[in-house]
Amino acid sequence: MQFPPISVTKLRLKKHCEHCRKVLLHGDRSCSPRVSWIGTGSKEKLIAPSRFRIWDLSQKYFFLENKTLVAVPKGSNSPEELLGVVPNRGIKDTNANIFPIIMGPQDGKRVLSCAGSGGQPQIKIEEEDIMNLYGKNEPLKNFTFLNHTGDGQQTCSFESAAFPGWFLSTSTEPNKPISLSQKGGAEITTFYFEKSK
Amino acid sequence: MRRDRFQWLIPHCYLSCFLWNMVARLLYIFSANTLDTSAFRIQPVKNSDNCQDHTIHFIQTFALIGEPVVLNCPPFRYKSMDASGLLFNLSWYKNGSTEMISSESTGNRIWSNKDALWFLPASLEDSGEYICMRRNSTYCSDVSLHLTIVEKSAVQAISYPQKATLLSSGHLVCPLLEDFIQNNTEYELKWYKDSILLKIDNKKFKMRRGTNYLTIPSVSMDDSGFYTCQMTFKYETMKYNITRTIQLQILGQKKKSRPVIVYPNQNITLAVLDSRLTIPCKVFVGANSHTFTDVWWLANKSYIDVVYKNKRVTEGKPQKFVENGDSYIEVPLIFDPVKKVDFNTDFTCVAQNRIGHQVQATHVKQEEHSFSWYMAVIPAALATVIMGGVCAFTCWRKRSFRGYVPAPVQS
Repeated sequence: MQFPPISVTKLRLKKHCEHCRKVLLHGDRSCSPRVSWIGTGSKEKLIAPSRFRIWDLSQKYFFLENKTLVAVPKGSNSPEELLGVVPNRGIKDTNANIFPIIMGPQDGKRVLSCAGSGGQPQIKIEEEDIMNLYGKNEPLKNFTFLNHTGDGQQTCSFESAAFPGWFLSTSTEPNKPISLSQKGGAEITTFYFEKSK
Repeated sequence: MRRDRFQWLIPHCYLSCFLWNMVARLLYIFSANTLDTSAFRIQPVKNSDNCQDHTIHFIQTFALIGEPVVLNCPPFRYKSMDASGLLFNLSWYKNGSTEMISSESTGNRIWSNKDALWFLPASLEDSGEYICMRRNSTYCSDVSLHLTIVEKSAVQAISYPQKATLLSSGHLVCPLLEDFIQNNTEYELKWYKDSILLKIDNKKFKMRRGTNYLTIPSVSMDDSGFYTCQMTFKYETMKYNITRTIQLQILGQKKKSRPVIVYPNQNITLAVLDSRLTIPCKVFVGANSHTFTDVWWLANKSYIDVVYKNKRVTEGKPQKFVENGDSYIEVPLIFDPVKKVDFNTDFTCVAQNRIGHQVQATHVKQEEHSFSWYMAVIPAALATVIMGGVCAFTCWRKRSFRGYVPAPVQS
């Protein structure tokens, strides 16, 4: 049977919320979180952040210390630090390869923010309830990262929405705090991002 | 193997120090006032020996016997105060010992060098807790680091888990060599898999001098397992091996396939008028259940809830399930009850993910309650066929019997 997919999709869209629209149009990226929370089958709002494991191209994982996330080679006896992730539905003008998200330590009580006036912006961990931000439906650019899916869709990078051109990065040395860097430098801006089951 | 890394530091000092001070002071006042001070005297705790700020590395350092180990005192950024610009004396102690570890390397196996504590080489009895203490005239801060030295046979127990994705390029990193790299361009690692030296032929494995990683251009399932990387560290006249073991896990590629509707698999679904009917739309979504697939029904190309506002026909809740390792989604279309109008409606199930979509149409046809003409014809036809067959067989047998009657013997 011949079936017009575009008309169906369009029709269907009217019934979907904004972030579902993205899923329908752009589907799942292995690197991108967008699938996974909607993959649970619900069309409703998220009730808790999705938990993601993040590691950089040099196999360094994130560990939380007080108010800093540090990238460290993971030992088999290391505790695992996951990130809590929610989509930012307040940013509308994205394209197929960019997905806006808010991230923080998995307890959901703190989020990553980008701040700075002139020069290099910095990453901080701020005391904000991630679900509160998710529910606000505002741009919240300081808290938002644009999740770019890389070639082959296995890797991705995280661009600060407030500071275009600045990406979440790790040092090539272990035990250094994560930071924001421009691409092309020594810092690592490519990550693996995997939803924790 | 050093796993010096970042640690969970717990500043728990303020409260405990305060309480401890108070207890000590109260006891002192109590003892000085109520007891004969010459007979029984409680010394106030010598706080000058205890740091205001005490933290613990939560993550331990593991290393192999006979190899060089460096413990690094974590930078001050973890502390509750901003200490940048302040000058501190740093000293190292082994827990339980008041003796500061010497900074003299000559003749010593263990010595301190600025923020680092060197073991050259480490031995089993070095296992334990080490404390680095930063102190100036007004402030003191210490950090406990835990070191475990294991026998060479236990190397897999202290391996570093790493990951690579099937069919894409894998990147194994030999971790925590920074303290031992003397000349960036000179060092070269040897890589082993399951104790066999890897041939770096730039086909299966790639490696460059002066880098700490091994590249697998196209990862296969067989690439999982334990890898060992080894470098040589020269110190004065001695050469030491530095060994790290990596446990490589292969992640499956995300299945990239469009959904496949496995049911309904034919265009006609029989139904009885005025009875309840459920048509499941069962969709195969591949081995990866995390792939988002949307499944829905249409009636004459419109949504069910739009067409049937009275909810006579509804779409059931999507059910996810796994059969023989494959994931399926099932969305039922429920008629309660079937009406005549349904026999002239196109019902279509649509399954879509980002790779593509599939549609499967089905028509509801009336199933006769009464004795249908074909119900009568089929047994009659069958009976005729059987009878005909029996007749034909009998005739044939008779004829062939006749044909083979032996001629009477002529005497």
